[in-house]
Amino acid sequence: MKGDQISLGNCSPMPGDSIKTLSLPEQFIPPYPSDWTVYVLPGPHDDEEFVTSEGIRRFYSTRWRISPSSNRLGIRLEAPTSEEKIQWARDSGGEGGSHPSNILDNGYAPATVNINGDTPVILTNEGPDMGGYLCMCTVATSDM
Amino acid sequence: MYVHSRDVGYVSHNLTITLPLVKPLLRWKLGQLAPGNTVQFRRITRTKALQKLSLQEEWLNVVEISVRALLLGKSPRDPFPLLDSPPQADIPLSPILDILEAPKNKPELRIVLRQVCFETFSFSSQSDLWKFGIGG
Repeated sequence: MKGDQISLGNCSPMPGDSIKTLSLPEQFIPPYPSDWTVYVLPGPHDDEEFVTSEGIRRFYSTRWRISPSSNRLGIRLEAPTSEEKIQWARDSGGEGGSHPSNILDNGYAPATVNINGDTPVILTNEGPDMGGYLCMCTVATSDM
Repeated sequence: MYVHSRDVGYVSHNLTITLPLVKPLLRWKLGQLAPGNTVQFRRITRTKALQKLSLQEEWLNVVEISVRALLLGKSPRDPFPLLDSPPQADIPLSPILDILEAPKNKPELRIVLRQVCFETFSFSSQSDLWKFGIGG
């Protein structure tokens, strides 16, 4: 309550406490490469209704570059060259909007990969949990 | 289980149903993706995704046991690699779980069931799913 006081107990080591600093043995530290492989579950929208079969193949064979404009909301991905675009199977999003990446709003799973216009974005911890972009695939929980 | 359909402004015909995971999770990988790095996505099956999750739990157990051993002055266990073990090729899988065809005179009632992730799936229909009693 307002005006109440709280005092801290004695936090210094007591006799018998281990004051040894513990560090993780080096063999347990995972390697942090520059070129990552992330395992995903397909879907919900990586099929020929939205993207051509060649476009789907290209999406999964591309080594996407992590954009500097990434944060806790999402990791934005860039194609290796600016000429490479998502190969849409349709001209527009129909009822969902003018761009073929648009769909009627739906829930987003954590760590799903949505296509924001022509930019794939991995939705991370503070990312939206619903919206109107189609999602190609969703990162497997073990790879989040 | 909860039905996820919080829309504002206009009517949505997509519903996502989520079965929440009970276990706490180790989320370590996506946060390591740094600007300039590259990432390639590889599709795996739901079974494989669950296996990888068990493997991760096992890895955490080995670390925990080893840290406890070190505290007691004993030697740690040999770890196995956490990352990409074993490497797995991309499998071209379809996200479509099932299609419920529409009656001939009502093509708008066609329903496609799509996988979102292994604990979630979504419905999409060009029509109103509330008519099927799925929502509400």
